[in-house]
Amino acid sequence: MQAEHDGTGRAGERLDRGESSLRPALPEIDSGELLASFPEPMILYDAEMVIRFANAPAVESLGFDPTSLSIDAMRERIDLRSPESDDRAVDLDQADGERVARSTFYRFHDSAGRVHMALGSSAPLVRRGEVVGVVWTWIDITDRVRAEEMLSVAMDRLEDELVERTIELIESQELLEEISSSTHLLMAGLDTSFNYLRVNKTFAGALGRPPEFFPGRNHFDLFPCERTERRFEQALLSRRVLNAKQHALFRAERPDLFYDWSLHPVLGQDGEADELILVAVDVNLRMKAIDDLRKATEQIKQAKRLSDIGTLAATVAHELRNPLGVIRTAVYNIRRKSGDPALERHIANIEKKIDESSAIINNLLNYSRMQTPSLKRLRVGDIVSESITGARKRFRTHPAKISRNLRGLRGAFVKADVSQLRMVFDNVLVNALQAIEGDGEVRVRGTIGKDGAAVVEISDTGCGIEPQNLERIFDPFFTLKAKGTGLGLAVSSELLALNKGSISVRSKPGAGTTVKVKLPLDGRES
Amino acid sequence: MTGAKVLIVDDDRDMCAELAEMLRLEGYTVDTAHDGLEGKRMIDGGAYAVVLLDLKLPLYDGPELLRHIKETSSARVIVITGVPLTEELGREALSWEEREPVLDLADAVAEKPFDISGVLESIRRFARPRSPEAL
Repeated sequence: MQAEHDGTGRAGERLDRGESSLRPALPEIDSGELLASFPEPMILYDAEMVIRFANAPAVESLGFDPTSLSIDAMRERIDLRSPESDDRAVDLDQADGERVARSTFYRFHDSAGRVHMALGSSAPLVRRGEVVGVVWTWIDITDRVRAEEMLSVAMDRLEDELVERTIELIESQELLEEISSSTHLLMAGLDTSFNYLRVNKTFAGALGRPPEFFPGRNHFDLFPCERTERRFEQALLSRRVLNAKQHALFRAERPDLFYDWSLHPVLGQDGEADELILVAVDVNLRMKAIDDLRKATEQIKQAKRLSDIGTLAATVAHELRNPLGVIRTAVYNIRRKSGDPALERHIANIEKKIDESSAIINNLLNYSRMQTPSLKRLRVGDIVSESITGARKRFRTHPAKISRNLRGLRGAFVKADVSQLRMVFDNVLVNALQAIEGDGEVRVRGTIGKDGAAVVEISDTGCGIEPQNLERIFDPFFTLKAKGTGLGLAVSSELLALNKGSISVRSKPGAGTTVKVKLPLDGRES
Repeated sequence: MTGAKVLIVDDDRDMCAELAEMLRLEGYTVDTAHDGLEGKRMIDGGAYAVVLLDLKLPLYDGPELLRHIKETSSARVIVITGVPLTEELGREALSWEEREPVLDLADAVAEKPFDISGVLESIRRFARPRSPEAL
């Protein structure tokens, strides 16, 4: 028994030695070297189906040298089966009868119990019409089958993945389109050097450019910002999403636009970011809304304060009217009873102050009862004239002049409340005259503005208003006068608003002040 | 004094005193009342040519008294008020809708601090005898 495997080179010797045994003689094979060097596994059976020779590849494939094993022992040893024939043991000796070569797919176990796949062929060895042996060769295809199986599994997996990805892609494509067409999300794809690959319409629109402007251009060439660039680079390196809030992403060009944005690195197969998706939300509206809300809240607070003050003012004013009435009656009685001319100057002063107090009270009351105006069509020039006449009367002793030029308002009508409008011009004229100490001039000019509104400008050559005070002059109870309620301009502004008009003031400290009253025109008649 | 009789109804005693003094100097016979009930009693007890009536009165409200005066006498009434006539000033004051028809009953309305010569002129006018038998 030759159980040793001693390499391919000496197969011929073994064949020779076999001849010396009791077994029938093998057919003479001219080139033992050739058999031994046959590159695929090969086994030779003798006529009694006992293995007489196994070449080196066969020994390697089986994991043992099968020489001297009978075919039954061999079958048992390697658990030889053919999956193609319903796991039935392969009848190698069938070749005996048929004398034809057969090719079959086999499965067998090696000495270590590993399952092998083989594509085998058997053929009878015939000498002078007699079968003297069987040659069995096979190709071990275990690795190939395994590779194929793995490949198949991999292919299946790939296919599944492909389907999944395709679905995802379709979904994300839809999502992308949905997002892209949405009016408020700005989206852009950037390469790793921050060059634009593509942008959506919203993105381009926000910057007033067509979408095709962007591809190929560098974000930081267009909108240089070192700090943002550093953060972009960090996002790229860390492969993490970068977020920013209320940031002027396009500061270089649009410092007025603020965005909440995020930069998403898209990872390639190598795990490195190979693209960046920039998504930005325009938060200007939100910021504006918050700002508006804050302003509105402020206005409501102010209105509430004014309403409280108004109620208080009205109550106080009302309560003051009674004692003032008593004082006036008492003064009347004093004058009547004394008949003393020496007292006359003092009495006149008291009466004057009663009038002034009464005027303050009325102003307070007017402020607290800002009523819905009863709008009537009236000549604005007439109202201004009446106010000028009234002011001249009241400021008889004031050295300042009042000049007027109302020709520009000739035939100009406005829709307004007569008494409210009168109050506005009265207040403005009183302010103008009180701003002038000694000589000076108040000029009243009426024109039609470019926007078609009636404009009355009242300028004085008075002391003017410091810039820091100018922004407060419409605040209720803000006054620069020693004896003022601080309600004149606040009331005027409110009244004009009620009459769809407006008031503005410009001033130069030391040079004078100009108050501009505007009212929408309601036609002209000559 | 043979002047016409004038009644002043005002809860402000100083107001009553000064007005009374003023009217007496003008030759009128003057009575004063400081609340609504007192005013009502005096109206019911004497024939006044003119009543100067404050609208905000304790015990018996001015508008009620005004209505009573107009229903029971021939007195002319001048309403003297510190309440702005076009303004609602809180719960105590009558709303314009309530007050307006009442004020229609008044012969004149004077807002404090009223113009004295105007009030005196009204009183003179109202105190003149109206009925033929008085002529």
